[in-house]
Amino acid sequence: MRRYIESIGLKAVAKRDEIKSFFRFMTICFKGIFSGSFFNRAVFDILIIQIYFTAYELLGLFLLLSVVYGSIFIGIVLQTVKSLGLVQYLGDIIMGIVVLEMAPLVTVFLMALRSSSAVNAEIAVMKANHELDALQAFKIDPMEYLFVPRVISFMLSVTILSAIFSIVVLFSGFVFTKIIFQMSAGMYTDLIARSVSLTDLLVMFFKSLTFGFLISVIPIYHGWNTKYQVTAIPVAVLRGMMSVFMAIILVEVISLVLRLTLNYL
Amino acid sequence: MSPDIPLLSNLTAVDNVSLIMRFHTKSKDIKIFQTLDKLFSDLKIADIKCLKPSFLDEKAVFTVKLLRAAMMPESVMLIDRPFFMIKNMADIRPVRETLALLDTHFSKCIITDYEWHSGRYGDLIEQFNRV
Repeated sequence: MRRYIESIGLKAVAKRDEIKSFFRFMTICFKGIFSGSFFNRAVFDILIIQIYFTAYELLGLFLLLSVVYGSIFIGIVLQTVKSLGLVQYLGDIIMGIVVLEMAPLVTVFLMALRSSSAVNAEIAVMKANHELDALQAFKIDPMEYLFVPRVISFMLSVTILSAIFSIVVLFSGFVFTKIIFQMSAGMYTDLIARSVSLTDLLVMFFKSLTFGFLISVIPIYHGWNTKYQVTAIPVAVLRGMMSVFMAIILVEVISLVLRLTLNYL
Repeated sequence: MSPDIPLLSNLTAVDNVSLIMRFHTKSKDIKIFQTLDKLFSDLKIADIKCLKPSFLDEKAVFTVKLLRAAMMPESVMLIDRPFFMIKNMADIRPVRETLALLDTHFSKCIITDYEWHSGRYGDLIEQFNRV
């Protein structure tokens, strides 16, 4: 019995240490964003390459997905609004549900699937091959050279792609309101403008930045924390991606609670 | 340079070397790449400079590592077990010849190796550090 309690205690202590280590890593990454390290040309090149890989290369697929999925989704939403007789809430539904909630969520899931897993595997492979040690041997801090540019590029990419998704969905919304409600462009613009508040836009902006930060820092941490063994790489990717999805859900829940609270105040 | 300190697998041979200069010095990129072009040509490895490490043989990896180490400003170059890195090398002469080509870039080099390799160092034996 005593041994069983001790083993639970040891596991709890190990978990606490792991969480403390992750938060320490996250704090260092966060400070690194403001350190200005990307003014070094070698680091700046990595930042540009990362933006190219995470945002630009994804853009074609992302636009296609935004047009197809966004249009169908908003078409269904507007049909439902019409059948339930909720036309007076049309602007709030489009802005509140489709633009402010769905856009960052779809973007972050797509980026996590495509880029977070790649970054997780890349850093884990570099760790297992001693390449991170090689950088340190040449007085190049992996945090400065590898991690911070990736975090900044993810934060920028999620924010920009969320904005693009929102614009596409708003345009689809205009097309569907024209077809379903015979609404003019002026009326539609007015409806959307009346439904949007600065607080909502700020919540969406900071949510996108937080998503970008977390879906980069978590896989980097798991990759960096892997053992010097090739067999440890899949485990690092698996744990990293599970943590990424849990973080996405957590941020989404916190932002919903925040919006609800702000709307009540 | 050591068997435990590899080249970065996602960079080409020339980028592995230029990274050190670009990160630590303020020299212009054009000057850095002109210097590296000349060094790669002098070392007769110009044809591999755009290849990634997985496409390089043992000798090319060793030479690129040597070049990379020589680019580190204000440092002592330590070559750890050269005969472990190039297994079919008969003696230390190829390394000395390569170092001679780089002699404008550094003033001190220390080689560490196992005692049973001492016969392969010739007159460098005085600098030989036992492991």
